[in-house]
Amino acid sequence: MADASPIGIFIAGVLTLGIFSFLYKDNPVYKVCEAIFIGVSAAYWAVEYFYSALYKKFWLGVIPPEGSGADPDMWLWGGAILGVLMLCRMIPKINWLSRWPLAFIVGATAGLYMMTFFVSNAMNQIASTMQPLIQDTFLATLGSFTVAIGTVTGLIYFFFSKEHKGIFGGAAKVGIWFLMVTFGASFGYTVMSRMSLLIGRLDFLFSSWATNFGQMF
Amino acid sequence: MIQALFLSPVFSPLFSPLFSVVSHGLGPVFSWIFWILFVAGVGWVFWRTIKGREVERRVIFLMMGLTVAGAVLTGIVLPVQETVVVRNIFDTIENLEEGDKVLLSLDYDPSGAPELQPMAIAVSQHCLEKKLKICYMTLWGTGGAMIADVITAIRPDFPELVYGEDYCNVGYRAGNEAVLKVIATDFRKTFPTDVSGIVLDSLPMMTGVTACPDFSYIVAIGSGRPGIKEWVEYVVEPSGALMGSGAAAVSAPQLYPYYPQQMNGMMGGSKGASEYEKMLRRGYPKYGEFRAQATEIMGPQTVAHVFLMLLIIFANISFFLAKKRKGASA
Repeated sequence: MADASPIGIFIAGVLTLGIFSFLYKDNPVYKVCEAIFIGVSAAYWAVEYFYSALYKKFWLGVIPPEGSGADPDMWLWGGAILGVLMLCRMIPKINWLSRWPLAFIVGATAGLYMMTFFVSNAMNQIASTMQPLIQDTFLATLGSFTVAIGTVTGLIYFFFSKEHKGIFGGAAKVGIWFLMVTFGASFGYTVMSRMSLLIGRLDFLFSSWATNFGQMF
Repeated sequence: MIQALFLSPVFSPLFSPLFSVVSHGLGPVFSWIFWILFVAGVGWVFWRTIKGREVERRVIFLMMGLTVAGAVLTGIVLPVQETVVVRNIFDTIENLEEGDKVLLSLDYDPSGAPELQPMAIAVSQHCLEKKLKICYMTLWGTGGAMIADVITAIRPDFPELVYGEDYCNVGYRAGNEAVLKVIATDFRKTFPTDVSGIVLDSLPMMTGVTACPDFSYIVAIGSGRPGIKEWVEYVVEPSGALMGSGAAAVSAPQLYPYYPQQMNGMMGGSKGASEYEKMLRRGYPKYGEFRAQATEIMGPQTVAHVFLMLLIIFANISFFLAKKRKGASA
C-alpha cells in the first residue's frame, strides 16, 4: 500500500466495510463488493498469466531478446501446442483433444511427485522420528519420549484389524489424546491466522484509511 | 507480588493486558473503558449461558470485532517469548559473512501479508544490516507486489543500497513446482532476466550463482501452495540447500515436522514474526524506534484468543447445564 493513491485507499476501505457487512446478513452492498473482488481477481490473473506465461516464458523463449545470448527454445512449441489443444474443450466436435494435455499434466505431476514426495514426506520423516530416546538435556529427552509415545499410540489408534480393548485399547485412547492435542494446536494456529487478517484490516481502517478519510473530507 | 506473578512467563500472555493500559493513541482512559466494556460483555455472555439462553452469532461477531478493534486502538503490547525454532534462523543469518547471498522467496498474496510481510521486512533488514546480498523471488503471481512493498519499506533505512550489487528482484515465473525443480540445478534457466528484463549475468551480485545451493541461505516465506512444502521437496531434498522458512499460522502445524532436518528454523505466523522482530531489536537497537508490525499484532491476538477461549468454556458449561436440565425434566 506504500504507493496507493488517496482514492485507492478510500475505495479499499469502503470495500472492506462492504465485505464485513455480510456478518450481519447477506445484502446488496456485499454482493457488489464480492462481484468487484471476483472481477478484479479474474482480470489480474488473466493479465498476469498472459504476461508471465505467454509473453515472458513462451514469446521471449522462442524469440530471445537481442543481446541476451540465449538460443531459441523450440521445446516451448510443445507446450504451446498442448495449450491450444486444451482450448479444444470449447469446440464440441473436437473436445476429446483436450484430454491429451490433461493426460500430460497428470502424468508429469505424478512423475514429479513420486520420488520427491516419498523421500521428503515418508523416508526422511521416519528417519527424523527414529531418534535416540536419551538426549543431552532433560527437556530434549522428554521431547523424544513424547514423540515416541505419540507416534506409536497414534498408529495404534488407526490400526483397526484388532479390537481396541485392554492394553491395546488403552494405548489407542492415549493416541486419541495426542490427536486431539494436535487438532487443538492446529485450531489455535488457524484462529491466529484469521485474527491476523482481521487485525490487519482493522489496522488499515484505523490508520491509513482514517487518516486518508480525514484528509479527503 | 500478584502483578509479578501475572507478568511471569507462564501467566503474562493471559494477564499482562490488564496491567498494560498504556495506550499508543487514544489514552489510558479509553483503555480502561475498553477493558470495562470487555469484562461487561464477557459477563453478559456468561449470564446468558447460565440462564440457558442462546447468544445470537451476530452478537458474537460484533463482540469479537469490538474486542479486536478496541485492542488495536489501545495499542496493547505484550512481552514476546523467544523460541529456538525462530532463533535458528536469526543465528544463521547472524553468522553469515559479509557479501554472502541470501535468496528470499515471498510466496503469498495480500491476504497473507498481515502476518508474513513483517517477517519479510525483518529478515530483509537483518540481512542488509549484516551487509548480505538479497535476491528476491516469488512463486505466486501476486507476490511481485509483496516484494515491491518490502523493498519500499526497507529502502529509506538503507539509502546507500545499489540495485544489482546489494539486492535484486527476479520476480515471478509461472510454473509452480516446475520452477523449483529447475532452479535447484539451474537458476538462470528459469530466471534468465530479473523482473525488469535485465539479463541476470549483468547483475554483479549474481556472479557465481548458478543454482539454489550457491545461495548461502534460503528463506522461503509462504502461505500455501506452492510454498514451503514444495521448497523442501524440490530444492532442499535434491540439492541440499540450507533453508529457513516463515509460514502463515494456518499452515504452520503441517510444516513443523520438517524442522530441524529439512529446514533449520521456522517462523510460525505473527508469533514467529514478533519473535524475530524482538531478536532484531535486541541485536540492532536502532530498530527499537521503528514500528514492529508483528509485535503490535500480538496484543490484539492475545485478547482475541482469551475471548475465544472464554466462549469455548461458556459453550461447554451451557452444554452440560442443558444436559442436566434435560435429565432433571425427564
